Amino acid sequence: MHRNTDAKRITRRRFLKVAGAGAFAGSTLSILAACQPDTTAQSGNGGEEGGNGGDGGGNGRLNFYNWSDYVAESTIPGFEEETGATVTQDTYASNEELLAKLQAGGTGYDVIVPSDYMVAIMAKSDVIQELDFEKIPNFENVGENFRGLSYDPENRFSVPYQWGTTGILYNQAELGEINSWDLMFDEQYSVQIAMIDDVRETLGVALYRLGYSVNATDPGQLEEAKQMLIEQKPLLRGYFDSTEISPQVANGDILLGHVFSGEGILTALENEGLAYVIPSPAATRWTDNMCIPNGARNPELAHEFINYILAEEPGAELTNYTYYGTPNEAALPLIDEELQEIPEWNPPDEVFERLEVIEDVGEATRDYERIFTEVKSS
Amino acid sequence: MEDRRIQERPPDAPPVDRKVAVALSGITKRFGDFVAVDDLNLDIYEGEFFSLLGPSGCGKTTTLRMIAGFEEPGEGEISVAGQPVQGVPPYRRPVNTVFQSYAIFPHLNVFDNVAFGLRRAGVKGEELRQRVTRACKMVQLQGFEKRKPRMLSGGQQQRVALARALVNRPKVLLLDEPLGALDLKLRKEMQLELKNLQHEVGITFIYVTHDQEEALTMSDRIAVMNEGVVQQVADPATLYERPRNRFVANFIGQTNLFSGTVESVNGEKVTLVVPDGAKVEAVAQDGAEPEPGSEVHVAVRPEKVRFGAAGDNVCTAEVRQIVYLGVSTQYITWLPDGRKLALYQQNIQDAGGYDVGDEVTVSWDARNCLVLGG
Amino acid sequence: MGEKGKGWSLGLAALLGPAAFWLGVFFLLPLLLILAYSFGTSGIYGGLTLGFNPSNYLKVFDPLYLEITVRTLVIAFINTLLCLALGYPLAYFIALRGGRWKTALLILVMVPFWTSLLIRAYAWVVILGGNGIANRTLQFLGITDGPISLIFTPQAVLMGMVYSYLPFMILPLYATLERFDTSLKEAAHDLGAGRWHAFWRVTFPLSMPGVIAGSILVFIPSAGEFVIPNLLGGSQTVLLGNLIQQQFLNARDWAFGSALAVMLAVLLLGAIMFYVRRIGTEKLGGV
Repeated sequence: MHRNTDAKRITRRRFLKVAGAGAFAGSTLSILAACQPDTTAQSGNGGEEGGNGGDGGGNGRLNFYNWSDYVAESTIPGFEEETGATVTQDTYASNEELLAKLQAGGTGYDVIVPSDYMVAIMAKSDVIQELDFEKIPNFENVGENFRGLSYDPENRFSVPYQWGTTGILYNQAELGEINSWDLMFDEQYSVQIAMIDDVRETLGVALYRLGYSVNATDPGQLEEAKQMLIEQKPLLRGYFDSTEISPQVANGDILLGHVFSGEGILTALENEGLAYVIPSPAATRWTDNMCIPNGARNPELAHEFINYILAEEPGAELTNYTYYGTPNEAALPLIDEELQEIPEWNPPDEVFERLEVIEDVGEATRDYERIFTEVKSS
Repeated sequence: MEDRRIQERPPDAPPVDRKVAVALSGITKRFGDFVAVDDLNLDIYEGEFFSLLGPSGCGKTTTLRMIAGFEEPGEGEISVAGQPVQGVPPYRRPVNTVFQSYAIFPHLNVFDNVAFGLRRAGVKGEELRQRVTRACKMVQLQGFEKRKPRMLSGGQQQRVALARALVNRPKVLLLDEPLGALDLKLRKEMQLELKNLQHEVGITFIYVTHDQEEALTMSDRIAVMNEGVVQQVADPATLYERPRNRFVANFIGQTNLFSGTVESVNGEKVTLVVPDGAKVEAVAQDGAEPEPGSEVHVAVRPEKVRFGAAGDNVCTAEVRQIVYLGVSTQYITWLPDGRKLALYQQNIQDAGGYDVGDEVTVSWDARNCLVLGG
Repeated sequence: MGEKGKGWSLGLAALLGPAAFWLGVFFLLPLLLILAYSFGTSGIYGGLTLGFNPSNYLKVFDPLYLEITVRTLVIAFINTLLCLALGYPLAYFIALRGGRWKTALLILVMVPFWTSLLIRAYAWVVILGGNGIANRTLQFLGITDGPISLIFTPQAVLMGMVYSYLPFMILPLYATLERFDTSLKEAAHDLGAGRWHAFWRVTFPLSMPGVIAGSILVFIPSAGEFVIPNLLGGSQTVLLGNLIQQQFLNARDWAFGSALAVMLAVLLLGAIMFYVRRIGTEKLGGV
């Protein structure tokens, strides 16, 4: 008899468990469906909160999502003064972070600054909106070289912001003059070399050295690049953000650093004995662009901001701070002389020829990621 | 009467050829400014059940711990079985301790607890099993070997502690108030059991307690201590009947104390005059000869005082309190000068027939009235 | 007898309500989400479609990723052992010999907690750098001739992990040791156990609850660690945490990242259950 009641109890308990689980699962699934990361359009202009603050100027707010340390001190105050708007700036450290943020539903950003290949990806994923060039008259300041680039041939989605190269900041006093990537793979300088923690840039260096394109998809070529990087790894101090590499060269911890041009040039100018070079046989040229995401709360103000940046003075101020290249021809005369004299800053044509632009490689992106993981964990 | 230090060999000492299990000479122990043990000298003989008795703080536990090796004396020497143990850590002394809190290892079962010391000594296999089982049997814990300590009662745990210590066949077993946590009935049972055990096993037991009844029940000899100093070392009967000083007289059993001035001394007999003028006949101890005119203290046990006038010392008193104790009745009487005199009467018949307020005559013999030291 | 008093009351529900809600929404729900994602399919440009796609789990067993998993567990294990080896003596000393200084010493152990992990990690970068104190001391003592590379190595990562997780080991150990009855130690000595044996056979087995608690508190989070390998390892030591982070932030492969996360959780659960079972049934201390 005792056993009977136990059995009954167990069965009832089990039943409740299963039923409860089922109910819970059911409700969870419906919640999950609602929480699915939304890669479709956030809805057209005006985004989530409708046309809140839709008219620019006056008491408008602009949410600017940018790389860190990528505006001049005067840029934002200048805009605020001119339009009476308030600007808040958030920062991100990589294109992937930017994309992930937007895809996870990061809302309310009015202007973002993705790099070249990311613009293509974002256009394909319908995360950014088309620009209304009637509201950006200053577009005419953009040089020919910077219009209609491969990632956005008709400039439907983007307008160039700054451009630059990725090269080597090195200790010229110790090493003499260099002009290729080779020394970064040289045993002699073991642990005095650092590379950028970016899959496309770093894999790119190996590909350049092998004579391949930075956008290679051929498995054989990628395999060779992988081997080269695996051999290089023991020689490295580590993989870092570009901003962490320049100080390491400056204080002597390393002799050769893989850096973006702006910091490279800036650091070289500030420190005796250092130099920045765009190595042969090839190097990356990248362009950061201004875009307006689909969830923008204030697209009107966004367009005004973009237009403002493209004006000659703000454009010059920007470059005079970041020391990156400007696509803004009208701004050229206002650039610091010191900067204009540096060939790496405004490379001559023959150098320009051997620069490649990183493009989206579609399916091969996963291969690149896997290779980089393999290299880093070797 | 000056304070007399206890000699190593009291006059009623056992024959010289008995071996000394533990010898303490000139032991002093200080904790900061506090002197816990002051120039202690003791010889404890093989095979005896020896107790250290005294109130808390008298230094008995400290002395025990010094024998065990948990404390080192500041001055003096200790030797166990003839070997000095200066600086020898506890794990190398041939002594074992039963702690007040039993200190049974909670993570080991009874068998492993008892076996602990043997294993440390390298005993294993069949010999180990046999000795442990025998030890458990000896303390009536056979069959309990697999139990964990938390499944044992206080009394059972205490037996485990005992077995655990004895199984190692130490030269001396030290017991630190082991029966304190038990209820009265159990305590009385255990006292007898311990006494029997000690006879059975035949090793020296050194037992610390504050309970004088317990000490009197179990011990062959007792050292009474107070404030770090040994007051008297003797067998229970001697301690009871012939306390050497006021402390011992008061601590052991009940006593009536008087003080007075010596009038005359005649051999053993001492006559003294008490404050209210009466004369008291007492006897001196150990051949002491108090000076006439000096101040002395005398003690007489309540059971040695009778109703009636048949005795060397007679006086009248008023009954103030009657305490019925079943076996006996205790009468508290007041002498004319306000001093109290207690007397016990065995209830051979029913109640003694005296009431509170009665004027009575009480008396006692001189030979039961002892002159005390210090 | 009856089930009297075991029923639900309004008061009980009110007390449990907030906690249950919090746990449910911020703990249980995200876990379920991750579980669901792990069976989804990631889009090339990010995004995720739900469904039943077990291939993410197959990917988890790819040799490259398996190697990373093994490395992570090994490092977490070594980290736990080192924390135990360093933390136990310290906890022992504070609990049993600390006396008046107990509280002060405990506070000293906890003070690093109050500063940001980032600051502490960067401090190590400075200390272990080419010109840092470590190198200069080594050269001063004549052990090395020139600066050696101490920072951005796997050893630096391990050291950083031991440094940040040590308090998690010390505090539970201290709590257990503090309650230790010293008369047990005396009893052990009395029965012939020297200092080592008294410790090993009595004190240590009785401190096991603290050892277990501390080990779990150190092992689980260190298996998921990703900040220290980046800050102190120069991103040259890839652990599961880094891999998962990369899937979510760089590779845009949320499904795979979720599968890795689920696998990590399952592994840790399994490891803990095994550990606790084993310690629980074994005759602690015994012979």
